[in-house]
Amino acid sequence: MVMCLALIGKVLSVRGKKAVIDFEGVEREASAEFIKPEVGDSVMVFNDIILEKVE
Amino acid sequence: MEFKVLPIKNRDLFLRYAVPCGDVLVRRGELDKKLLDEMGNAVRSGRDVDFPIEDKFKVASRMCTILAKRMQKDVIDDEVIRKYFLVEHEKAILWRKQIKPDIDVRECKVYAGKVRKIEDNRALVHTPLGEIMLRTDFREGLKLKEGDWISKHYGYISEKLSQNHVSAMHKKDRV
Repeated sequence: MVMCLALIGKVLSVRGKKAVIDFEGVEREASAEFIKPEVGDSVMVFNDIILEKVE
Repeated sequence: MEFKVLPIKNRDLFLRYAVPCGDVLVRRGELDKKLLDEMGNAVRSGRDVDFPIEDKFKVASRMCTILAKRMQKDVIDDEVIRKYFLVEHEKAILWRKQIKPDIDVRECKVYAGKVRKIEDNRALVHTPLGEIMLRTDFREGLKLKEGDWISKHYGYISEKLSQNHVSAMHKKDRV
């Protein structure tokens, strides 16, 4: 699977359609509009949009 | 929640923009070299490939789906593909650079350029990065001429651009 510019991060918190993601020490808020993650999930994020949960 | 990707109407145009990223992805171990070569050959000849490119380029196909829905479309057409690769892609480059600065922005970003001179299978193109020599054999029968505007992605010419697309890209670059 080609990730190109996307990054894998860990979900720290979820609030409505937003989630805070940890990218190896860098925390960013991302949109959970299309994928509903849970705390602890690893997710693929592109430009602050969660596109997929990953194993 | 299952993410349902919309169909890509112009798979050729999609690949002409996606394949240039391929060498970086092969180096990262995210893409198989043989597969990249197969896609490159398909682009060169204008053929289709017989595997689902949506699965291989999951990020691009999902982002194109999101953009298409925002544009109230139910298919990933040329307009959506260009919106993604000419506009959204650049935002993502800058986003990634803030988190993990491992991207060569100047190579990864898609630039508009004007053809200055054509020789054999190369073209000298004037871009915001300066004068660059690009291969013209990424696509057989491209029929470039001096003065044409093209889009550059890594070392490749993805397509000829209309004046409208060029104006939109230049406006974006000035912001």
